Amino acid sequence: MSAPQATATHSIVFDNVSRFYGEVLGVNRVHLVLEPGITGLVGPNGSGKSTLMNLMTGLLRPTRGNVSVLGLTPDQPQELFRRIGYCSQFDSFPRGLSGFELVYSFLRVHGHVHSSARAMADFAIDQVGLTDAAGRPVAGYSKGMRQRIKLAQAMSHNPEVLVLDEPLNGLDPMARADVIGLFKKLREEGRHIIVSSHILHEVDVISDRVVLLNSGYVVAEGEIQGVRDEMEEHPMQVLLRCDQPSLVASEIFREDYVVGAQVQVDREGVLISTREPGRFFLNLNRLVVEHGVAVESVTPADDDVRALYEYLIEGGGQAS
Amino acid sequence: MSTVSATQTGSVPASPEAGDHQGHWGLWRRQIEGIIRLELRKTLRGGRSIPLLLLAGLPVALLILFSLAPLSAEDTAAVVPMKVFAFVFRLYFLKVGIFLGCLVTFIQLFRGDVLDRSLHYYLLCPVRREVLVAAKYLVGLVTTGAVLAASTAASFLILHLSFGDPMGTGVLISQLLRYCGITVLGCMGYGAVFMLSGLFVRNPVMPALVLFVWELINPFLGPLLKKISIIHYLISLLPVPVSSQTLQVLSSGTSPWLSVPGLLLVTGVAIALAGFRLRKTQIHYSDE
Repeated sequence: MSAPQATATHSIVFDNVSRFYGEVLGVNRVHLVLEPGITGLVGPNGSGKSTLMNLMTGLLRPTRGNVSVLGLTPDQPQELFRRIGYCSQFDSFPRGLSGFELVYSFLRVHGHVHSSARAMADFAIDQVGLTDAAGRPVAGYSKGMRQRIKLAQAMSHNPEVLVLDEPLNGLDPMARADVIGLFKKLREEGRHIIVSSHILHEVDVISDRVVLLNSGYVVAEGEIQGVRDEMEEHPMQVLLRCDQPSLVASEIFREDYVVGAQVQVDREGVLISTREPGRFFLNLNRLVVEHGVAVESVTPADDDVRALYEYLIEGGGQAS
Repeated sequence: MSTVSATQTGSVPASPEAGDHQGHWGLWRRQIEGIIRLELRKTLRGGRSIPLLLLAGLPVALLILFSLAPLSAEDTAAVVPMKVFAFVFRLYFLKVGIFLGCLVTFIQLFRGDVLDRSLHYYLLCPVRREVLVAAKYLVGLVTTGAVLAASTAASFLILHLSFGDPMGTGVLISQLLRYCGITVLGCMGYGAVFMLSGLFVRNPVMPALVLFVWELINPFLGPLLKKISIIHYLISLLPVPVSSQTLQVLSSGTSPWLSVPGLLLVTGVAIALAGFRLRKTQIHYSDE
C-alpha cells in the first residue's frame, strides 16, 4: 500500500468538496484530512457543520469533489456503516419505539442476532446512563434523554468513527461532564470522533484540533492551541449597567489591561474592552466597593460565538 | 446521567457476518427479518394500518348486513352467490379495495418515513439499499396481502354460506383460492408501483389519481392500451367473468400464462427501480 493510500484508509478525507442546495451554498471547496482523535467542527448556525457531517455519512452527496471515510465512500453503505456511527441533528425517531427498541432494532437491521443485539443495546444504553428509562417510549423523553439515546444508537455497534452533531445540546452539566469523559476515553482507543458545536468553548475543552467554518467555508483548522492563542488576543467586551458609569469609565481606563471604556448614550452604562478578563473582574469588584457604585448588571457584550468568529475571520486568525 | 462506565475497549463485538456460513444470504435474511420486525411494530403501534383495515372491513360488513336482510323466499332464490361475489369482487376489490389498500400502505413505506423525518434511521445502517427495498416491500405485501385476502375470503364465505350454492365444495374452494390469489397478485403489482412512486414524487395524490382513472377506464380503452395496466391482467384471471360495462371495448383476454408472469415482471422492474432510486436518495428533510 502506498503512503497516500495508507493515509486514506485511516483518515476522513474531503477532497475539494462543494455542496449546493439549489443556488444556496452549503459548503464550498473543502479540503480536509481528519486523523484519529477528537476533531471539533465549530461555526455559527448555517456555517456548514451539519452539511459536512451529512456528507461524511452519505446522507448528502457532494455537488463536486469526493469524500472518503477510512478509504470507503458513501456508495458502499454496507461496509461504511459498520465502521461509522452518526448522532445526527435530526430529533425524530421511528414511531412507537422505546429507547431500548430503538437501539435494539437498529442492531437487528445491522444483521445481529437477538442475543448479541440485546447485549450490545443494553451496553450502549448503560454507557449513556439511560438504563432506567430504556423501556419508556422515546416520544416521552426530554431533550437531553433524546440526545443520549441518539448517542447510544450511534455507538451501539462499536464504530471506529463517531460523528456527533451538537451532542452536548440539551444535556445538564452532570451529563455533559460524563459525555465529555466518554469522548476522551473513546479518543484514547484511537477512534475518530467528530463533534460539532456552535459554542467554541465547549469544543475547546474536548478537541485535539478544530475546524472553524463560516458561511460554508473552512476559515481555520488546526491544533486547538493555535485557535486558543488567537482567542486570548481578542479583547473581551463587558457591558456594565450602573448608577455612576462616568466614574467607572475613568477609573477602570487607568488599568493597562483595559483597552477601551465607552459610556452609553443613556448614561446608565459603560462598555469596557479588556484583554485580561480575570484581572478586570477582580478589580471591578474592588472599584465598586470602594466607590459605592450601585451595579444593575454585568453582561459580556460579545460572548456570542458570532462575534468571536468575526474576530477570528476578519482579523485574519489562522490557527493552522 | 448516573455513570458513564468503561467504554467498549476490548469488547468489540463480532461483526454480524462472523461465523456465518451462509455468507451474504444469511446476513441479508437477518437484516430483512430485522426490518420486517421494526416495520410491523411501527405499523401496529403507529396506526398506519387503520385505513387498510377499514377498506378491508367495509365489504365484509356490507355483506353481513345483506345476508341478514329480510328477503322473500323468491328474492333469496334469485341470489346466485357465485355471480354476486364475482360482481362485488370486480366492482369493489379490484377497482377500489386493492388499489386504495395498496396506496395507503405502500406509499407510506418510504414516504411515511420521510414525513416522519426518520428515514435516516435506515440509511445509517450497513444494509444494501436493495435489501432495504425488498424488506419494506415484503412488509407491505404481507400486510396488504393478508388483510385483503382475508377480506376476500370472508366476503366469499359469507355470501356462499348465507345463500347456499349448488356448486360442489371442490369448485368453491378452487374459486376461493383463485380470488385470494388475484388479490395477492393485485397487491404485488399495485404495491410495487406505489412504493416506487413514494420514492420519486413528493405528493403521491396526483400520480395515484391518474393511475386510478387509467385503471377505471381500462375497459373502454383499445386492445393495446388495455394491456398497459394492472387491472387488465387481474380481470383476465377471474374465475367467473362479469361484464359490468355495457360500453366496454371487447378484446380477447390475456392468458393466465402471460398475465401472471407479466405482473411479476412489472413488480420486479418496479422494485429494481426503487432500489436504484434509494441508492441515490439524500436526506434533507427541510425541503420536504
